Amino acid sequence: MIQNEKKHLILYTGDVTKNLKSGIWNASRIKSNLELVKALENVKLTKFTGDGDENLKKNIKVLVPVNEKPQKLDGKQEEYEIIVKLFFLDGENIDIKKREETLSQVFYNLHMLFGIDFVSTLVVSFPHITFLKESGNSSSNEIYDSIDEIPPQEIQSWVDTWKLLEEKVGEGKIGTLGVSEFGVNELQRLISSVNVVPESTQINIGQNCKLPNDLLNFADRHHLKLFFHSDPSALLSESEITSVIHKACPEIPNPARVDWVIRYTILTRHTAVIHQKGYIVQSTYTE
Amino acid sequence: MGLLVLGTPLDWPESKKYCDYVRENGIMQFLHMYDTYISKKQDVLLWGDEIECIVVSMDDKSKKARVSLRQEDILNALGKYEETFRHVDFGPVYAALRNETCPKKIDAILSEVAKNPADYVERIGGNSNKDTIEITSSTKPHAQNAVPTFHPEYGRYMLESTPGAPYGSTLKDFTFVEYNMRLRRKIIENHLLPNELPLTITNFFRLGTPGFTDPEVEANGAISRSFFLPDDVINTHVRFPTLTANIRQRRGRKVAMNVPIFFDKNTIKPFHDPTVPWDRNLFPEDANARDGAALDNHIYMDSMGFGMGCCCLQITFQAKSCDEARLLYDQLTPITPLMLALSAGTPAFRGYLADQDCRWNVIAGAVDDRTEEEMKTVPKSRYDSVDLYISNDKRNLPEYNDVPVVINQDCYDKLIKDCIDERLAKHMAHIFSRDPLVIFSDSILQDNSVSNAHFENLNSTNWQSMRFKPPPPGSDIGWRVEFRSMEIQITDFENAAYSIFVVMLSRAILSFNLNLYMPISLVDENMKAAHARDAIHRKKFWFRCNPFPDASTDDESGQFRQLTIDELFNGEHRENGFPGLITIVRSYLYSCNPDAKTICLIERYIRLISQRANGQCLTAASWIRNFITTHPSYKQDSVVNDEINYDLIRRIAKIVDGDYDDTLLGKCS
Repeated sequence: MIQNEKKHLILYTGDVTKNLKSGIWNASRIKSNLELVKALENVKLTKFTGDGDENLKKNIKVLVPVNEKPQKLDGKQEEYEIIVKLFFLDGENIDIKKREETLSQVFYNLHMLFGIDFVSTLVVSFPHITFLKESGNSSSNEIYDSIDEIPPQEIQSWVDTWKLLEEKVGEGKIGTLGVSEFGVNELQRLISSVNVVPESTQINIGQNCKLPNDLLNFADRHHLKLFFHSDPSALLSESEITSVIHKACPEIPNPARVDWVIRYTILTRHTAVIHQKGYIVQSTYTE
Repeated sequence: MGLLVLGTPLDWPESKKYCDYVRENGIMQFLHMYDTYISKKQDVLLWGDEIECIVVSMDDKSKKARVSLRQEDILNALGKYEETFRHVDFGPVYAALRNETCPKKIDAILSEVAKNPADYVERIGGNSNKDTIEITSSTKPHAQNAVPTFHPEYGRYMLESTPGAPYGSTLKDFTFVEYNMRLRRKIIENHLLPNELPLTITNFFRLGTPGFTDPEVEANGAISRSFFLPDDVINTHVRFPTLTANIRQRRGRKVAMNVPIFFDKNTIKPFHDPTVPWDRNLFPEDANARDGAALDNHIYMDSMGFGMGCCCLQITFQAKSCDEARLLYDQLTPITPLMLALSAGTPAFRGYLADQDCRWNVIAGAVDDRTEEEMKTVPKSRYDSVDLYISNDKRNLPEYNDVPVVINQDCYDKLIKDCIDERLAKHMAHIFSRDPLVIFSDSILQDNSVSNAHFENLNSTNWQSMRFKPPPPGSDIGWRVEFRSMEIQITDFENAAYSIFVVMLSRAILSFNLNLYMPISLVDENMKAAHARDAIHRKKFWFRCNPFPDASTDDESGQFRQLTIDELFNGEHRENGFPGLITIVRSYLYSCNPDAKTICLIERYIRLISQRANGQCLTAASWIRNFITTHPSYKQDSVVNDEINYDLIRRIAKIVDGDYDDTLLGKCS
């Protein structure tokens, strides 16, 4: 009997923009994961059997919304701007091999669900760092106070992960790369060790509009675009994902944790209309 | 206003003979455009604003403000400016503006560019690289590349300005809008006399009072035959006097608008207006007022200029296809009254305070060409709120088109025979139920495969709250809709905010697949409510209980209820309440996530809309009304005298020049 076998579950929220009454959760710049949580709570999931790479499907169950089968993008991909934000939530044991697998999974799922093979911008969110320290937040003890506290191997993991992303850029699967919550110090460390420099960083400074001068100057010098975001650093907690999974698959009683999440936003380039927006979550549980 | 052609316009008796001919050929032209362009798809979002302004002449000695009748001179000069700088790529100007944060420096750049954009661009080295110029000139220019354009309007004291090319489809393009508007204002200012001001106010508060024009002219013209407005206030291009006379002649009497007067403590009650020359006998129509056209307790207006002399803020955008244009036309129709209420800017007419805040019904009356007989059978003026939804979307239920609509049966039959679907055919046959008002003798014969002039003769003289515009033949312009209900705002900041809000809302409607349909009769009711004095606080507006796509499984589906403007924009503060149009727009904005600079700029605009809706700052109408009623020389008698008028305009000019007034513009952050 095999014990403690790790199983993976991929959950797809469906398009969160077409069910708004229950989902206008992103209309403020205060950090919140409600859009994702509510989407997962409200969606009725069913097992998805797509064709594809058997290797990548091994030990992985994919759940998709009952009433909304994933649709391949109509028209040509170049008519859309596809923005993907990838949240690595593997803070406890960062393993570059796993990240490589994650990237494969991300592109495999984008392809399988929507027929997407090219991401215009991929923004990567690494665990443990925030631009402004969250005060009074339960997760704040998992966040480094300053760049000096970050262990060198973790900074190395950014660079190693970045190399993987650079490969994707080289293969023509990603247009430009961005980072999340990186301030001047983090950006300097990253930029000095990589070939493809990030095109942008996105930060959260609450409802404030005053960007810090050092970041503005740095961005100016390095031709970086500055964006806001309102995603908490730990996007989805163990208890949140466990309860979602428990509801969708009562036969899985064990606690689960999230490995990674992507949020994809597909904009119709020439009309500024949101074509689709949703999340894909991969979690791990032990059987 | 439509394209101005040269030639001889026919008077009404002569025109009448050609009405059916114009209609018939107008329909042929529509069919030709439809067939040619129905498969035109994947167009980009392009959009533009039209801003109208009133040129006011200030006499500081006598403390009098009057409208300046120098339109032709000013437009000639502006035309030369356009011509001189047509080849300048303004791109570097906007790039410089975008990188500048200091308000004074921004103002300095705009001033310099307004004087001589070519010199400015050369000075900052924008056109130094020849390659880039060639690249930009080969792609289609956007608003930020082109010299703005200036156009005549009905009133001879009015000017209209538009960006020289449309704004583009990205949210970043929103950052050009306010600068573009400010630049236009500065360019106009440079072509005025030192004592003249270009004001973006909906109407001139003392329009039609003795000596309100510069130069002063007596009101005794044979064209409009008005008691109050001399014919000299009408744009001298033949189209406008002809339009004025033909409406009066077709109608069989002068137009008559009666706006309820605002009764203040000392207003004589009943109010029988002493400024109406009741006994005048210059023209047969002078009897109209005595015979009941002028109502007691109302401000009576008897000329087209009282309406068409108003300034509006109109937005036109290109849809990606005919179907999308029809959908947007429908979905934005219920929004038109809400934006009218929120943009209200007309609390005074002909020197009196009114018991309403909007221009809309005055313009409706000003071009109302219906005969007395038709008043019984044709429910609305040709300038009024939309009568029919036109989309083939399955959510457009037949019962929503619930008001009586007059159509031209021959046009309808012809359209149906040529395979136009019933909804669009009915809309066009409705538009074509009106008579063409101005026909030029030398352009009656047209090639229907290359001209759309007969079609436009009717389509552009049906002034509804939305307008559906097919692609003109021989151009690369797509299917468009025009959002027409808004009143002009005092500052460019506000005009940019309102324009951008409407464009974002249209994107949110498409992105979130919102369903705003409600019966046209309820939209009409909202349109009436929007006129009310202080409608924001005193009126409620019909709205769909649940406009979201998940409503199909909901018992609220297809139900309507009344909400305040605050609830409609800022949301109901209760669980499962309507989240508000602003939340919807923000949700759209944050999902698209433009760069930080763009977001912060757009947030300023959203904040203004939000504060207007919840009353934290005032609509232009309430602000103007407050200024008048608290002016030391106001006698609580509803009269806006010369001194109040002068001081009010001075104050407005100061605010435009940057003297921030948070009662009007809201708290900065």
